[in-house]
Amino acid sequence: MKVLFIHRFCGKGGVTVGIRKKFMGLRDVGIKADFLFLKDTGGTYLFDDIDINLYNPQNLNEIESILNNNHYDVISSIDCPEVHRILEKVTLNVKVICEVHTPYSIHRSYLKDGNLPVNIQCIVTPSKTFKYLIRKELKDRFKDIPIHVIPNPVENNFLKLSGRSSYTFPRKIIGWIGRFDETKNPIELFNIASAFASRNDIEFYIVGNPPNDKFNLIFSEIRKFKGRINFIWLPFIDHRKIHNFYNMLRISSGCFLSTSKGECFCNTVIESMACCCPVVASNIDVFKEMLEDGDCGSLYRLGNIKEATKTIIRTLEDHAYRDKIVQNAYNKVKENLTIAKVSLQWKSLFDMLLNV
Amino acid sequence: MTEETLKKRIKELEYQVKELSDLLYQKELLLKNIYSSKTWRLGQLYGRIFGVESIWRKKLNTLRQKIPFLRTKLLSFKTSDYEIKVTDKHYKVIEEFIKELDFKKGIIITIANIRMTDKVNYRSDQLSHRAVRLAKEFNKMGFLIFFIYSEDRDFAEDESIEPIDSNILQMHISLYLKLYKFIFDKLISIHKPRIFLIQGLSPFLIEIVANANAHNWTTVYDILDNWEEFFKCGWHSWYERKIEEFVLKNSDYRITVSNFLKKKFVDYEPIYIVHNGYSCKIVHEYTKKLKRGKITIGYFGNLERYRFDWEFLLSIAKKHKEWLFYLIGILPSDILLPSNVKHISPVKPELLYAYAKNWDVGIIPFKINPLSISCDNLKVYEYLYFGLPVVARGVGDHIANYPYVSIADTEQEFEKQIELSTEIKIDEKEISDFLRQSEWNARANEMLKIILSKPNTYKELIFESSFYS
Repeated sequence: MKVLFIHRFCGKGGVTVGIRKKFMGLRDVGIKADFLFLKDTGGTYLFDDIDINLYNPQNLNEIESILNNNHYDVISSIDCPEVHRILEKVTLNVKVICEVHTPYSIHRSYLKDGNLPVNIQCIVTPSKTFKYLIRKELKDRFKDIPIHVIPNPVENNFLKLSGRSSYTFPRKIIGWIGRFDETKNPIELFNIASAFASRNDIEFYIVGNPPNDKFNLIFSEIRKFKGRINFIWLPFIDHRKIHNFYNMLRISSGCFLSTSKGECFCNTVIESMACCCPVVASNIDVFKEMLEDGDCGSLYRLGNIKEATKTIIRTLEDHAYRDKIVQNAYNKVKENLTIAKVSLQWKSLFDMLLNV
Repeated sequence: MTEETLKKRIKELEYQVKELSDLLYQKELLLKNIYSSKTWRLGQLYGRIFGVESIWRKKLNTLRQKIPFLRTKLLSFKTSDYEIKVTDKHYKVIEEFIKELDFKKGIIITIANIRMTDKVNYRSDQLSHRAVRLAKEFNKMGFLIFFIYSEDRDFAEDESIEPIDSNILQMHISLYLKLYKFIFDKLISIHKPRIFLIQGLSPFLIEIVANANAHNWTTVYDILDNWEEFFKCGWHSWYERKIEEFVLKNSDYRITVSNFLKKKFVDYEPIYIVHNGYSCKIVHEYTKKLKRGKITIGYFGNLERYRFDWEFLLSIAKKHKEWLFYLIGILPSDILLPSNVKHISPVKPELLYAYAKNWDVGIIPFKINPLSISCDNLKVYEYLYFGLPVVARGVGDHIANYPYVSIADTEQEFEKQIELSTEIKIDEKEISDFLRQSEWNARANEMLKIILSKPNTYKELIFESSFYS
């Protein structure tokens, strides 16, 4: 079986990392996959250690010839409506699916506009919450398209609990990862960090970059930050080292924080869970689904800084509670979200589409 | 805000900055005229008698405070789309330069507020500036140096990239801002010490320091001076307290020159102290013959009012007409000197000894304020090197431990110490032993020892490997 994944970008973000993980899993179940992207935004190195074909066509004709020459069984467009008209031209035996991952509503407008390929077989999305959202957003004529939920997996090295625990950190570290944009809500993060400025035993490590390297947001947040600067900003961490980041949070007895206003499924949250790093997150629906408040992580009301600080303090200082959520979260990931388990779900979906 | 609105706002702010700069220039001219007028001089006399302070200076300072605020505001809009043209030549020069690293001990990127060399203008402060001296010493030790200067003109669009010699490459921060990712990426797999040394501040540093950390460079903030106090006096328009705090927090190591600065930033401990040094190559055999007094007293350096305590010095000079004072530096225009205080325009560092040979004692009569006591005055080392005992006021408390240095806060005590200093017999060996450990190469070694002594925990953990292993 041969599958092609198509996305707008080949970058360093969640979607490209997700495609890498899909390759690894599908390879293990005997499925060959390729990746076609429209713009290289610096993520091709993510595939250096994988035997795959990467395509970066310069025009629509080139895309068409790639599709025609490679005889794919399944083609998946991941939030990439630019290619939908071309996908309509493939032969009947090629099954076309669409994956919806973007939490940015503007990038999902193609659902509302009905801009899906007419030969679409199904939609795949990583969480139930997102499934309901997509269902609401779909145009009437696509209302009956089946929507499958297949979560994003975590790579096995996250579950190994690496990192030398002999390190003693002088402070508990609260980690945050994301783009500095409205959806990931970094302003709330800075407000929460500021609320901890008087505590010398807590510090923040912020990983992320503003879109298009526009640094105004971080400049202005630093300028108006109330109290002692208590955060270290790292614009990026190579995905091959990112598990070390969560391990560092765990070893320092800290936690991972997400202030996001919208997610389809949060890779950073499941990666934290896999590394036994407790998670505190805003109470958006996706996090409710993933963390089951008080069971696999802690939630606070989005926008409520007082509640966020209270929740963080409980997660850091109530050891019994911390141990419980960490263990439950780890078990949840290990049982459901390994690459092996998730790739089996993909295989059954492809088998079903191809009537194997 | 849309891009269009932002552009409009930038234009408005640019206009305001220009307007304020013009206003400042006009006021400075006005002040210059006033200072040179007889009326002003009479007024000064009146002021001294009745303790009236200059209203114009206060106004000028207020105006100066406004300009940096607007500039930094502007900068926040402009930082990422700075119009510097990076050409193939820039990349080629850097690639050629980096090749040298194969034969070197490591690499150091220094961010300073001063040029290392300036082909157009000779500047005496360049030769003894801590950032310049340390860069030269690190270079001698076998490090490749990128010397990034910002001076006080972050808006300059300087596209020159200047190899000072085969191991030092100098460029303006606005050009470096366009090239730093290229440089970091090129050096990502180098298993040699990669040190990012910050010795001057700029709003651009937020982005650059964060990226240096993300590329696993060892970041060091070397706090040379009390920048905040300078800013309050109307200097260093690039200063912002929060930027300094960000750099403090985000650096792996923090080093400073005095206890006062260490205490100032106690929230960001640990902070190590590495004092300033001196260079023994500043002596010249030539002697400048000067008239001597009963006691001949000398000073060289900054004579500006914000640091130099004119009232204090002139009061002592008036009481001791038999003493003769020599002051080398730029004299503020509003100062009237009595006959026993002689002013000499700035001289090149290597010629200072020619003048100092005539002196019995070197003095530092500074105001006691956060700015002066933050400093580690280079001139102390130089006075000692010239074999002069030192009487000082308004200096860092560590200087009291140096040989042949007396600290005197009051006029009476200062006078007494000047008199006593003439009776002191200098033990040259004691001074040379002390100075040996204060030479710039000793300071550079001291600094490296701190930086390379232990790995930074979070980086070793996240990046797994470091150059220490």
